[in-house]
Amino acid sequence: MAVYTSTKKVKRPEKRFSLEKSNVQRNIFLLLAIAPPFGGYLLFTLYPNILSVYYSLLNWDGMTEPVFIGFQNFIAMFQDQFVWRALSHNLFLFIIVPASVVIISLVLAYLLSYKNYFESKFLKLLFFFPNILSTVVIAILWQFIYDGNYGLLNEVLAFIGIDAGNFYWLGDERTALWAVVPAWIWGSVGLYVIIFVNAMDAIPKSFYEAAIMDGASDWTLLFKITLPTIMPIVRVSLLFLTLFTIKGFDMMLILTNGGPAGATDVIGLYMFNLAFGEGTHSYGYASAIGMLLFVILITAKAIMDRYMKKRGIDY
Amino acid sequence: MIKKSMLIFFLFVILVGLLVGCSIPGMGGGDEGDDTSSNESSEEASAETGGEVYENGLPKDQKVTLKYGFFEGGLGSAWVEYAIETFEEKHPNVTIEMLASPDISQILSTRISAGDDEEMFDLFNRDPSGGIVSLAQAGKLEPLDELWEQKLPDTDAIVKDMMMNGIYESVDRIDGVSYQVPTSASVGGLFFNKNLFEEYGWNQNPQTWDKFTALLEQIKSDGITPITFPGMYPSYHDWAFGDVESFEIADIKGNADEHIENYQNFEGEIFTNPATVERWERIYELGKKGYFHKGLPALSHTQSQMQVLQGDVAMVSTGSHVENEMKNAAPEDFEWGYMSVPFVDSPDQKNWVRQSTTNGHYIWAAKPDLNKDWAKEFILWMLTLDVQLAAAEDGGAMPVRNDFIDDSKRYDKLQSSSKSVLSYIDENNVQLVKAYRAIAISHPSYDQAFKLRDESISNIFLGKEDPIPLLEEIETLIQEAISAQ
Repeated sequence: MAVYTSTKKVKRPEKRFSLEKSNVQRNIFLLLAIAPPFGGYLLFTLYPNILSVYYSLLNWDGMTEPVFIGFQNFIAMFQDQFVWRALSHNLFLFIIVPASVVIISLVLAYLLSYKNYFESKFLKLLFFFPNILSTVVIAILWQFIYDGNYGLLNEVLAFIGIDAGNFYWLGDERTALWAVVPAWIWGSVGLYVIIFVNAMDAIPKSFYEAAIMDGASDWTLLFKITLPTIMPIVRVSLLFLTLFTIKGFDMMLILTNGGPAGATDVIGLYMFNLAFGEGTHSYGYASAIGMLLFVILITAKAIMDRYMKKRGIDY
Repeated sequence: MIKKSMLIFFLFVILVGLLVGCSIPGMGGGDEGDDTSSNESSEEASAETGGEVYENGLPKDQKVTLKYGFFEGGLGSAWVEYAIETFEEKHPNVTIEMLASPDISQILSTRISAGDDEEMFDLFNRDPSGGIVSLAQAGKLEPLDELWEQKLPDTDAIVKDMMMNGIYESVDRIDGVSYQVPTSASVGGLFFNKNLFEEYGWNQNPQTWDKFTALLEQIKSDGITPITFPGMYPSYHDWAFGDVESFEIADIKGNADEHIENYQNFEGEIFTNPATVERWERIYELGKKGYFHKGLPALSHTQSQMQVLQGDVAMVSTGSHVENEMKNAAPEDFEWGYMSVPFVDSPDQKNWVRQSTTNGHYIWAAKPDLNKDWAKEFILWMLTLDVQLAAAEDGGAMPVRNDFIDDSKRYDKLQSSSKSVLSYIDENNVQLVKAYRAIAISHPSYDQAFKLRDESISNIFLGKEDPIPLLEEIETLIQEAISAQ
């Protein structure tokens, strides 16, 4: 008994030691793998964001000594007509762009996935093409389309019998914001078509086969199988598009620079121009607007999480 | 135990990260004095060993590298590359590392905000975003008053005596000190297709407001839009119709000096003073008559300049750099003409013309003395006739040397836009001037005031919006900002 006990006592710590050693190695590996990106996140994302909170309390041009002014920037921001106007333009884009991009992308993806067109591969490439173009190229392309003198749009309208004369679509306050929408959608659709096509291709064929045997129509297949199955991907896409519509401004910067008369000014562009504009350099005030943008983005994310179905169909 | 070690490790990573962060530019770390001390010590060593010096008194045996931030705009950068090459050839111990970019203003702002003097440019030829006033007042820029008194490398005369009319007088001065020496100029106004003007027999030099408006009416009646500019970047209106024209109106009323002083120091009425109100009212009247291109709010600067090249519009508000900027698009026989907008009633009254010191060079004060001395020498080098010619020929720059046109061969090498400007200056009672502010204001209402002004410009030029209520609203905002300082 004593010998038996003794043997057990000798062997047990060896096993435990071996197990512990393996765990330590595993944890060291995990630490080494996680630490660099985590450090980068702390340094390049979290730290600047925390600094922005501090900057928003300063009157600072980025060059001279900052002056602490408490919440003055926030008070000025809530009284700033340009902030509310820019946000109203963001709201307009938020209503139109993400929904349009998702609907158009879903339709195109469905056609490419299920209609087995001979030229499907080529069409996928064609739809993806705008995504390999920089925003600058897309914006300049659409500038030419909307030009009053030699623009494609006026020519097409003239061809179908509508005389728009030398109307500059981006030069009129009534049409400029509407004119930005197709350019934005055109530049975004391709990526989501590819994402949705791949999501649709991943749905097991047996789902459809069983449904077809039960006599399901095309519409039933689409609304009862395809869309519910890829809904988590649609949700994430909608989230990305929404956030980008609220904070993005590169298209506006190049296409209209916020004009005419501020008709296409959005909150990101206003903030950018305050921080890096030719005549002004108000880091503090721009940071306060950045904080507002942050709150809006978090709220948008929370609302979407709350009201959009999170889970798809498991298979 | 393992959790504790993980926690310690993560804390270590965070600490290292923050230490690295603190050593990156502007975060308070780093050994910012290294460059200075090494140069100073080498200078002392040179003095002790009695090393050779150039005729400018600077040592030949000490290697110096100058970081040069260069704005690559309409003048391009070929001519400055030539200047660097010839300078380095003459001074083999000096290397100039140039970063040329159209976005140099933003690069400058970023480097300045980073706060690392070692990373900062030794010299640069463009205002950072937000201007230079606060920098100058914070002692970040080297005062260059003494440079105006120095002899040029290719003549015995001093800089200020060799400058064209108006350049020395109107260079930016903050609290009476100049921090900038321009090496070329770009004169603003209306640039036009000379051949088109000759074909229609239009007046190429209307010397009074009445003659000018008569010209616009004639152009319009000939079926061509008289004037365009890029409404996407409303500041372009300033080349022909800007603040300098308010100076002209104030001069007609006999209070130019007071107006300019108020302008520079944000005193009195900023937007609702009589001269500024009159300028905007006159522009509004032109707009109501349809003298500006209807599509201008959507135009970029190249699009608006293309309209003139294509003959759709007669004139564009821009600077004399236009020819170089558009040289690849212009037909071979295209010739640029120039006129300023005369707000005057008589040719005897002074015609104020905006001159922009496109290559006004600044020196960073916190750099080692030897670097600053060589930076000053390089500025002087760019004022030699040889480099002035390269800038004029390759970049279409307006020379700043007043003896440039003494040589007819040199004059012939100027681009047509520069020749037209010089001939206009010669034929008219011109006062070249640069409008600048000597006070920096940092306040949200200040930003809003200028945003409101910029957004209104297109509508005023198109005769769609009465400028008076707008100017009053802008004035309220700017006064709010001024009183908050």
